[in-house]
Amino acid sequence: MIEQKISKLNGYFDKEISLCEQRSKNLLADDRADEAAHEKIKANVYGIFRTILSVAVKTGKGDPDAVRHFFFLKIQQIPSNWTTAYDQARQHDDTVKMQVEQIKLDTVGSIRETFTAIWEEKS
Amino acid sequence: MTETEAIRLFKCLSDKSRLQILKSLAMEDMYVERLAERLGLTAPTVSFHLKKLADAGAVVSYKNQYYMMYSLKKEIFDTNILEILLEKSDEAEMQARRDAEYRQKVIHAFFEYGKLKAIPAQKKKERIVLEVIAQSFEFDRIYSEREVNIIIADFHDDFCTIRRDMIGEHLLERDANGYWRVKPDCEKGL
Repeated sequence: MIEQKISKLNGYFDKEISLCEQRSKNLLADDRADEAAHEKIKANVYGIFRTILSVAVKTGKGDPDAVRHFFFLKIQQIPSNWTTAYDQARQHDDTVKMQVEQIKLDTVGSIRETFTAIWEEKS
Repeated sequence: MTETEAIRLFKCLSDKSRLQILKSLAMEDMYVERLAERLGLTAPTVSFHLKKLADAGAVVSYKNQYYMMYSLKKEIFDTNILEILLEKSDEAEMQARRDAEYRQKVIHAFFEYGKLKAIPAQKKKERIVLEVIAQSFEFDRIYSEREVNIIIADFHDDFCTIRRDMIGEHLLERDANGYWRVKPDCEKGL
């Protein structure tokens, strides 16, 4: 049961990372370096949470609630710095930095939604 | 436009999305959402690019009722690229110092007690050496070939090669009356 969910989540992370990398490559080939960098940022965020998932699985030792708890704890803790950075950027009207932080936060939001959907899914 | 400003502008322009934004703004002033719709980009992405363009001095914004409008800063694009290249480099002093250091190194390597040890094989180094020898000639004075040879011989025995190369490098000029030292471009107007 839990193995299936973990495998589904890993599949999701792998797919998203590969999509981001592909988009980044295409954008770079189209002379859109900054947007390509944004896709790399997304891929990095997916990569971070794929690692978090594997740590959650190890520390959870087969207990779905423990895995869920650990993952959600980290998905709240890690982006808190990004939220602070976003707020600071907004105060200084730094649209460039805001965009970067927003991309990270949006990506985390989408990871949270997907994790919840897969984890709460009834088999 | 300073060198730093030019670099920032060129870096900023080397992006297709930003170039598309500028092309749109060249037609008319627009707001973020309109640009986003036109170019198939998200509004935050357009804002991101506009900020970079504004920082590079390529666009300006102004408020029009509820909208923040963006327009092309036309005077930036009226600048001739050659004008930018002819601007005094921020690095000019540094380059001049490096050149002076290099020159000193070559002089130190090829001269010993005022004598030329060998004629450098490298043209750039030979030029420096010949410039040093040329300093022994006065401006606005005609020298006979014998006088030229004696002066050069103080530096090196092969005065024929050196005399010929000094002519080739336009450090000395000659005609039927004799030889004379050519004034550097910077001194000609004085």
